[in-house]
Amino acid sequence: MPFKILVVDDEPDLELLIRQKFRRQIREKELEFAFAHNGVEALEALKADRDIEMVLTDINMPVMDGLTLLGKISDLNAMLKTIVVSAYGDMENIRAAMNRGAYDFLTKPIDLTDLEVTISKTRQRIEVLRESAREHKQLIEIQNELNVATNIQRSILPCDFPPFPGVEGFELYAEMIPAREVGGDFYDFFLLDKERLGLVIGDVSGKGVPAAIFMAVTRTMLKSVALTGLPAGECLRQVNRLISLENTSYMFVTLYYAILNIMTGEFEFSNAGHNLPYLIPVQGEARMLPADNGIVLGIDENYPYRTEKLQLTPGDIIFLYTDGITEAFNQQKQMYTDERLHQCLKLTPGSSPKEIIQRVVEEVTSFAGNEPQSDDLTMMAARYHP
Amino acid sequence: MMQIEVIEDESQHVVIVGLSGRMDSSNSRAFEEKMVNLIQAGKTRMVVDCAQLQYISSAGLRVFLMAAKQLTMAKGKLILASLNDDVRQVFNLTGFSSIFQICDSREEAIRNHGD
Repeated sequence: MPFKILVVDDEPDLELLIRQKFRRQIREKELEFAFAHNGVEALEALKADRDIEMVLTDINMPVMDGLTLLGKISDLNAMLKTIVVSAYGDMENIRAAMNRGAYDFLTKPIDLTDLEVTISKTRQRIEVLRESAREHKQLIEIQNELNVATNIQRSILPCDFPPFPGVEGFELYAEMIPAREVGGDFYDFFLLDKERLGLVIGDVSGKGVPAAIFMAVTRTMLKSVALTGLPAGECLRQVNRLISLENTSYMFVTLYYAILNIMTGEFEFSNAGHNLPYLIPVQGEARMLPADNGIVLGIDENYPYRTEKLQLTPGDIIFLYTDGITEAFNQQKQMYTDERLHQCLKLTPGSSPKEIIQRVVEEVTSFAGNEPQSDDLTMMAARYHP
Repeated sequence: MMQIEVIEDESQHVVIVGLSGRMDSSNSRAFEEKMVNLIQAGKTRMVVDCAQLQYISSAGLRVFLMAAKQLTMAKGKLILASLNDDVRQVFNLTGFSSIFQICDSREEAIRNHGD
């Protein structure tokens, strides 16, 4: 596309001179010129043709002078570059023009070779500006993609506590602090019936939009299978089969599914490669809850996930989390580790689920210091409270 | 943050990929491309030496999984060697230990390709 220049001058001879000087570039469609004879005509031309990228304007003209025109041009199109032409030594007008946003100036009588250099310099400058505007736009698009992932994640995770007003027998709290690039963590909870509360925590491999979509699909599948009331291990078998069959991208998800009976304290669970939760008993020290470590979901379609059971005492708390906690790094590239989390949980007797989670968030955040958070931090804690 | 070194042991017809540093979603793609290129170039007997690998995130595990499945389809084999305690723990927790052959040393892994 030719580079379009609008020449504004009340001197009619200029048009002929320019067409003569640049005839080759015009013929080869490298440059294209439009002409106006005062500021008002110039503005009309600019409004009619949005492709004009450069204006060459005289200062003294009838109807609307060049300085007034300059002020209006910057309102019209910020990318437009204007070169003013003034009498030799007329520093006052040149300074006024530069202050109003002129890009450069030429002096009269116009030296056409000089004009040619100025045009090519201006053109290069516009190219650079346009390039950086393009890059800026791309960065915004990348940011938007990150926001899509964050929005998927946010819109899915339940965040009203207490979650089921009027239902007693337990106390529940959960929190997710997303990394800048979404890590695919999720949690979920739902009532299977009057006595049984389903608890889910999971982490999808990888990051960004693919992880967020995989997370959303897994969460929905698990919930729909879980609501049929099947044992925890059987739910994981079914979800795993569904995910594995369609999985050509080698993504996978670690997931821990538990069912708490809020009348009897029976705690039933099944684990697909997820970090082992902690039991913070009403009496005694916090300890990691052993589990038969099944493989992550999405890899082996026939994996036999097992259901395991445990009896809770009133007041016991189960603390679930993702590896964003134990694998949080500090600036020395050290990890927070299971040991530190265990120590932290040992110091929380008598705390509520919400207090425990807040405590862990504080500890991990202060451990990480200024090191950017690279993965989502997700926790859920439930107290059996008949 | 992560280095990948490829050595061909021509006497044993085995390609050894040595990893060092931390593998996470910011650099797992480089590892994925390297593995895909090697597999496409017909290198089907592979050892990934993790002696210097300090940390692996789920994005890194995904590449191991991809490589193992593609090698199986190509009638090849992937053997891992020298996992440190942290990396070994991740493999145990996620159940990945049960789907990969893991050896204590690079030499043992190469020997196992001969069997």
